Amino acid sequence: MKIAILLKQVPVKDATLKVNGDGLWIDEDNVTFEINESDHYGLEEALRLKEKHDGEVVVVTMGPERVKESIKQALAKGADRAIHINSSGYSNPDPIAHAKLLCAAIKDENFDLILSGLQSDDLGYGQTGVLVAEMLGMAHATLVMETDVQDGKIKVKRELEGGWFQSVELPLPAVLTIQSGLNQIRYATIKGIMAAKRKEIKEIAISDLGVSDADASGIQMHKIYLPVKTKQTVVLEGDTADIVSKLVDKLKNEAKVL
Amino acid sequence: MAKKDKTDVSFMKSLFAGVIDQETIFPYPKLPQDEQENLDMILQAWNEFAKDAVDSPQIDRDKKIPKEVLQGMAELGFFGLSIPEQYGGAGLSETAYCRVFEEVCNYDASLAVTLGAHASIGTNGLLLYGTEKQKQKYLPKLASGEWIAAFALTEPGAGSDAAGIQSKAVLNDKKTHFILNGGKMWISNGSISDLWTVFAKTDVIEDGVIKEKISAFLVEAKWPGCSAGKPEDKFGIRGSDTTALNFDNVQVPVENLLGPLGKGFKVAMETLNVGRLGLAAGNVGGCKLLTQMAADYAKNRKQFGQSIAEFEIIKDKIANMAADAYAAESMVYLTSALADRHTVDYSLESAISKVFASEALWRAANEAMQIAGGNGYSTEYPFGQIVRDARINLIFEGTNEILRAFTALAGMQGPGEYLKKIGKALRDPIKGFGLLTEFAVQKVRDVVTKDTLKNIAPELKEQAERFNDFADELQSNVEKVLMKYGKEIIHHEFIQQRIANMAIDLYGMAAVISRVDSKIKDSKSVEQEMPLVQLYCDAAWRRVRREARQIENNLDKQRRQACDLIYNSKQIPFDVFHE
Amino acid sequence: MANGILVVLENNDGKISRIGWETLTAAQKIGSDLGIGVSAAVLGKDAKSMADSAAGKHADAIYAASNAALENYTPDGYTAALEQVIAKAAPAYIFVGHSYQARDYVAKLALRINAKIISDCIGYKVDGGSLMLTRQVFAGKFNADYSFSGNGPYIATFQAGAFSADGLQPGSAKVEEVAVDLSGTEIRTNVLDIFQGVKQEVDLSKAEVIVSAGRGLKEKDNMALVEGLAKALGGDVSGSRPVCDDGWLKIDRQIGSSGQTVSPKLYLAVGISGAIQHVVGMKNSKYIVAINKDPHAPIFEIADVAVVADLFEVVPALTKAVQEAA
Repeated sequence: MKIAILLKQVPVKDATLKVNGDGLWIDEDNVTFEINESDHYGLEEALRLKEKHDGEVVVVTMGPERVKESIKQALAKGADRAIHINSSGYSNPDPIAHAKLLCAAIKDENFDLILSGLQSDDLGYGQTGVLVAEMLGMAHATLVMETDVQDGKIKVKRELEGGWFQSVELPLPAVLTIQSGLNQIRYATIKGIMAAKRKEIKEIAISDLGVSDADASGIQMHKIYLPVKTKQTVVLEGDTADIVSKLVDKLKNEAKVL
Repeated sequence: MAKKDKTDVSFMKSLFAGVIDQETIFPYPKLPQDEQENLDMILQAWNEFAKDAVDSPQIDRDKKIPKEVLQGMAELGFFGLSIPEQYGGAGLSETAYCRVFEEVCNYDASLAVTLGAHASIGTNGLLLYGTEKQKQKYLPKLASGEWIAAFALTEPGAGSDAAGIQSKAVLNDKKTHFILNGGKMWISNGSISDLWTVFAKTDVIEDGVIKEKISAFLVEAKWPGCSAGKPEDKFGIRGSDTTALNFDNVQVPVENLLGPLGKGFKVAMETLNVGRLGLAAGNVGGCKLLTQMAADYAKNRKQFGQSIAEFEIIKDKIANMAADAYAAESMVYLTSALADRHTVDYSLESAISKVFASEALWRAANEAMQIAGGNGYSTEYPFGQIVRDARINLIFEGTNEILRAFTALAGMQGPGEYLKKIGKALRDPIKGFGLLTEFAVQKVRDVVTKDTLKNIAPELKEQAERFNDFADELQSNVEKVLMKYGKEIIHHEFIQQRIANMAIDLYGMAAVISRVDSKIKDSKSVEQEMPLVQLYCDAAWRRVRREARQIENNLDKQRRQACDLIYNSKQIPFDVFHE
Repeated sequence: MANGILVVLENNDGKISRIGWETLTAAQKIGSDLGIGVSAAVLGKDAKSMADSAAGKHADAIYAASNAALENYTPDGYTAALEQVIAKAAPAYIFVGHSYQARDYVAKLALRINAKIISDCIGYKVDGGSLMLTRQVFAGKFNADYSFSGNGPYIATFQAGAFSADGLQPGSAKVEEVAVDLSGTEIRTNVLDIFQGVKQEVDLSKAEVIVSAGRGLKEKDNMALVEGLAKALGGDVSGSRPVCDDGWLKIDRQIGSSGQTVSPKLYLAVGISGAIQHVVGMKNSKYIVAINKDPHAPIFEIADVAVVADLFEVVPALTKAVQEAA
């Protein structure tokens, strides 16, 4: 089975971020990046499916030079090769444009299964997997919590809201977007890290993808900014006894639960 | 990995002779990009694993590392870090190994000791001296973690004085096996290991005379007659397994002799050279971690209406900790790169790094606990465990006292030969430092002009000048004491210690200057580290000056008298109430 | 000619879901600010009765799109059906609640009808007759303002809780049945089963006081701290997703997008950093106290009281103080 994992690199969860000069992105200096969480689970699921059914796992990433680090990490964990769409200098905020580029890079690969994370922790549109499915004419399922491939079909457990789940069956090829927590992510082994050096990373420039309207965007991002607090937050810190006495007072007089 | 035959380049040994072998340590080494990337990924994998799996207080409380942790590390490949890829290992350079080891230490010292006893001293003898057959037989198992290794040198009567080994291996009549009898103690990984590098006396015929000389053997723990004692209950690194080993007529096949017969000392010392460096790297990690922990604690702790981090008395401590950590890091990774060149004698640099880093760690642990005050002393906080865990570093893999003596004597051997007076007498100053004879100073120093560092960035002018001055001071003092004491210098440890302390800080200054100078020449900003550089170098040259002054002008006589007073009394011979 | 906003009212087991009403509220407000009308659509096997339930709201029309193939939600079925409803209503804007269901098909619909899309919006501004939408980026650390460009239709999805359905304007809307023809639509998704992961034994939506545990508690044994405090306050215990995933707490006590949505008088978050997925489930609580060591924890953004301290010191002391105060 030939599996693609669409993988994005995002700032680490606990990164302290600042908005950059043009107000449309973060200042990347001194920011550490990592594989987007749900994509990471997707990678793990891809590797597990490969271990069960044989085949190949291909990492597909779009991003500037720095994403190579995440690609190598994915290769170290066991992915077989990678396609890197180098997007240095490309700043279109439209997820549809992103999906077009991804599809252009993978359409000739004829994947049986394309996995992606549910949502990225940077722009967080949560659309890429679904868009790619529609563009490539493949069936899809989102919020996948379990996969089971058999006889050209894939059965998945999807998460619904409020603790409900759905079991659905799709024909292959298909696109799945993966919910975090469906498996346990493996650690890269040192052997894997050494082997990653010998694996192929195919780098493609955006201009080489033949997408004529790569720069077209149906949406415009005006600025990013710190949310304006709607609530007046009282900060308590310092001495524990002092915190507790103030807090009890508030629970009594403001929350009125005592 | 160090090779058996070194050329005679040694930065520190040259320095003792007044020669500043600048090209050996400039520019400050860097890992090739390829290896740097691998290293970064290994560190990331380790961090991910360790965050989930390693619970240091738990390991300390249980006095045991959970099986799953060791198994997890084995699966990730951590047991084969420095074993070549062809034997199933990762083939890391000494530098990369040290950096990984540093990170392991950051999670738990017991775990680091367990790993170091296996991957460093447990395996290095085999890597350095093993035959191809021995390597093929054992390395893959050690690399995968299926087998754990241990290094068995110390005996009840042979601690720092390794020559006192009593274990004996006697060749049987058929000459197929050595029959090994005796015992070892303080063996890290003793009861959890499968392959031991054991040192025992053997009969060697030299010039027609039978002499007892130490040989090294690869001994499988499962062989009949091998047994391990109960794990010791230790003050620190409580999770690491430390036991006695016992050999009762163990039949060791002759093919398990490691290295040539009678050359066991060389095997042991070479192994420890590398081992010490890993240890020093671990200490660097500890220094950095403690500095951070102490600073975090200080920032969050409020007294007298402000965070205690604002008090200068705390800033003094944090600044010193940071400067020490910076210097220790500079020394360790300069030395590891010397080791990776395979053609350099780095035995002095390795000993110096171990002494400096372990003492810096001890100071840091002490200060961090002090900054944390009462909380620091509570077992609810991590500082107490760190103090206990850190303490062993001053003791094992060569006590710092022995390593100072080694540094001074091995350093003075070159000038000794140069002086052509006492070279021979210095060749074997302490049995066990059998490697001393390999070095000879290549360049004969021009006695008239002082050697200096050349082309140093102007930002480092003051530090370089101080280094030049005190390097000269080291050389002249070495000459002076050699002239004065001759071969008797072996018995003058007051002097040895001073010479060693000068050498330690001079190496520290050299490493720091090389590091910063190289960064400046790479057109990188050094603004943020300059205060650390200035703090360390200033403290260093003042210490060197004090030691130098005391070589002649000292109270050694009073020290001897004070000791005589105590030694000759049954009780402390003063009591203010009965005078 | 494009006209007005079309809201897709989510069908939750035969009823219009809360997020559907919230989105209709958003549409009423935005429609009024833009000076355009609002209509709505509801899909199902038999959508008429649901459409009727919306007839009392302020809207121009409620389209009821019924088809047997819409009994279970499928992306193919819903996309095809909505394509037909949209063709009929010809809206300028299409608003959908950013539910799990919407995440599954709205992007597909956008491509199908050649629409522009901005997902997961939490607010809006109308400036000079044009619509600016606000959404969260970088996992809630920042907000970002977006607008559409080029030709419509424009699709926006709105986060749960971004608008309160309390503000829904009553009125009267005509219910219009739309015959959707799905005979030519291949529905590739075969729905086998819908089931509850863990039987929902606990309904926290009525709880007055909730003490909620996060990853900051470090290990399962420490849950006793939270339980003790909840007991002292006479409240219930809940947790964030990681806490439930790790088995420290039963999954039916999970708060957030994949768990329950609550709005108690007091929500006391202990060691919860405040990922959006969690915040969505509790941000409408009347009074929020958060205890966290990290002064930058996003949970503090929505807290009434931010306790920046070590929970292992504060929680036991607070429990004791509450016991004494009671």
